Amino acid sequence: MVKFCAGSFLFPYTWDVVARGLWVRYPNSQSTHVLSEDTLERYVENGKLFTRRLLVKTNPAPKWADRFISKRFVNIVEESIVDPEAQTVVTYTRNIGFTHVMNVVERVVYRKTDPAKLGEEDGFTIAERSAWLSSGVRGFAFAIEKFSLERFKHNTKKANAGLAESIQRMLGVHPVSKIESASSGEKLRVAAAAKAKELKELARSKAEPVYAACRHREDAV
Amino acid sequence: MESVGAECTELKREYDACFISWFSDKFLKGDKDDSVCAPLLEVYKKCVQNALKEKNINVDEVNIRVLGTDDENRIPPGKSSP
Repeated sequence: MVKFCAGSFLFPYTWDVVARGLWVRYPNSQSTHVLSEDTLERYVENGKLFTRRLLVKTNPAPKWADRFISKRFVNIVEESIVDPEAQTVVTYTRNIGFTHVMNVVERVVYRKTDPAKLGEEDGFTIAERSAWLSSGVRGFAFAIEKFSLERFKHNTKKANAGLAESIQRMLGVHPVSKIESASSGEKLRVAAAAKAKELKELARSKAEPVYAACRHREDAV
Repeated sequence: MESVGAECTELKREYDACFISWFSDKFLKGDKDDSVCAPLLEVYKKCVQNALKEKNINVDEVNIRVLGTDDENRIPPGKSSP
């Protein structure tokens, strides 16, 4: 059993904006492996919104994994609870099928920043991610888990970047390149470059993990 | 975004558009009445359930609810091979 805590990621947007962004996150340039997205169930209970969705993703696996994983697609179920009182969104994601080969469960809590906490500026949103990865393939579990952990870390970065991109699109914030290409005159170009620099700096300062909530731990079973 | 069943994609788009405006304009502002998009969701959900069967996706496994239940706080079982 491998448990991995991926730590936290700061989105420079208010909680409600991130909550809306989560529903329009696909497609984005980081999510080309997501083939379909469906709502299976949705209801309001005790003032909270419960949703269960199905995502179908491509499943690129290394050559050595062919003997364990024959399917080209992986089905993912994503459950979520939006709690407007607590101002949180919790997502819980698990893969369906071939879980004996690799079982990945990910839980993400999106919450508003708490100025009382170190490094948290008011009015933004923090995503706190934890995940459990495990493989039950005798003799290969360690290799499969190690590979999956590396891929998971990589995908986490893409997931955060993809969500940020979708939020920008939703808010009508154009990517930097578009601002530059849209400007014709020199004055506009300079203004756009300044804006681009500002955005880049904002992205750099806000898009860094503010702290590592927990170090990853590998417990051999 | 596409639906898992090509025949459901148009229904999905209609429902998603309804949902996102309800979520932004009603739900987040305190109005919890979700009946406005319910008819669209019903038709779309049925389409998806049929598509799942056609594609041999395990409906039972897909329909298990974990989040918000006791199972959520349990460490997911490390499925071991027999």
